[in-house]
Amino acid sequence: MIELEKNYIPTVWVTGATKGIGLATANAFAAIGCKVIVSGRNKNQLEINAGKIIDQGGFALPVVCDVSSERSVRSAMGTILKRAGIVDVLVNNAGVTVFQTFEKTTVKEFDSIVDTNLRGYFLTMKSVLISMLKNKRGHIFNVHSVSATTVFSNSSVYSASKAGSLALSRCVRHEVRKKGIRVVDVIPGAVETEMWSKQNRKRFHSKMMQPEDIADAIVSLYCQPQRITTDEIIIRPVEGDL
Amino acid sequence: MPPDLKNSVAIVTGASKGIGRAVTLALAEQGVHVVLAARNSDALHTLENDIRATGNQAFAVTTDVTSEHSVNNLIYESEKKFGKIDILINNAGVGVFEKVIDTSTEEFEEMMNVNLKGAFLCSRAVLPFMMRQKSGNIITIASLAGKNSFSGGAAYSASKWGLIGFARSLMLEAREYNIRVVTICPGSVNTGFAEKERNEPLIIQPEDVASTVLFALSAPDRVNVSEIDIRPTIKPRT
Repeated sequence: MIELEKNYIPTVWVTGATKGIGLATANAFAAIGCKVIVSGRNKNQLEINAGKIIDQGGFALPVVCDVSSERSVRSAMGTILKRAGIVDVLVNNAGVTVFQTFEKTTVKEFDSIVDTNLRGYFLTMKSVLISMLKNKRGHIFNVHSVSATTVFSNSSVYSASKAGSLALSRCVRHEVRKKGIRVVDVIPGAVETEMWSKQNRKRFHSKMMQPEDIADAIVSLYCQPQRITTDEIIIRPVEGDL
Repeated sequence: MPPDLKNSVAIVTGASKGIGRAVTLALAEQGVHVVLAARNSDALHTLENDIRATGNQAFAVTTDVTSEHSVNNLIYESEKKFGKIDILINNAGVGVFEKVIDTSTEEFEEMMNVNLKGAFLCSRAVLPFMMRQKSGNIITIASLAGKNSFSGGAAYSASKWGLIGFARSLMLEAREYNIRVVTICPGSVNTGFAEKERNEPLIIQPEDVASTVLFALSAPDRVNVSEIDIRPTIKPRT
């Protein structure tokens, strides 16, 4: 049974919490009693997701945030601090992709993928680190992908963005580790989310993990004893990579 | 639902002390039938008795993982005793931390034999059983020294680098048979492994590695925690 530190209710900010791994992670943290900030671009969906957590007796606050926009991240952080006071845990999960050969990938698609998957992680980490460093505690989970270190066709820009976010995260960890902040890199293989087409989800179902598998791993790692930190975890479907 | 470990059978190499001992005790506590393998027969039998005293099943088999004959005997005895093998913990390891110029050929070979060849021999020996039952877990305790180079650690680092390469390849082969291959890379662990026993808070405890083993084993059946790196948390100065 996973348990929280006694007499303290942490606040967890999950980006990309409208669906998939982000939604599952928000639900998993809410289930162990954390206050959860569910953020994403789709206001209606965030309100539905937060409402379900509240209905189950949990605490959830929907906050609209486009992680690729500095202004939006700053505004979201302001709302979170005003309403919750602190961010103890950031789960950087928001991500987008386009499955396309390199030559067919447009500059617009490149910008969209890199802005969300890499710049977004930069902006959100920057926004929470100020108070985490002041408090000398905090936990950041950065969700990447095995594509950060593996070669796939039709995924060049996504892979580049994930390799970038992994490198960014490793360097941030190196800087803040001595200051009480734990930065964990979560590197999953294929997860059955809407990022994949319906056709592929059906075809490769057995070779995909479920969002809850990643969410449960993140929550377990969060609940590790204070004296240890998981730097990186690679988690894959047993049956094979796509 | 995470898999129930009760009544499954695990072989732990290097079980007499340090991480191996902690993993053995943690598994036994979950109701796993544990086979204890190590060279130190006395320590092994003491641990066997300690576990049995708690009402759990333990079976000590004195083993030198560098010997094919000895490893084959370990697997034979385990299967004879418990009828199956569900989990192998490749943990046996030795380390001599010297600069290359001071490392003897014997020291180099000892590290390669125990740390790398031992994992190969044990994994190869359990595979037929796991392939037949179309399930199993092979968990290898490597080290962050297998991902980072450092002065005074060339031979040790090379053995662990090799071990990680071995386990990554094994994972790709074994998954076809629904066998999970997990590599755990701990940073500094307080095992008495280094000549001077250290007690600083910056050293993680063998029990922390054991809890990581349980974490990997308790993942849903469809999930393979293929690699996990753990390090001591550094406490900030107040």
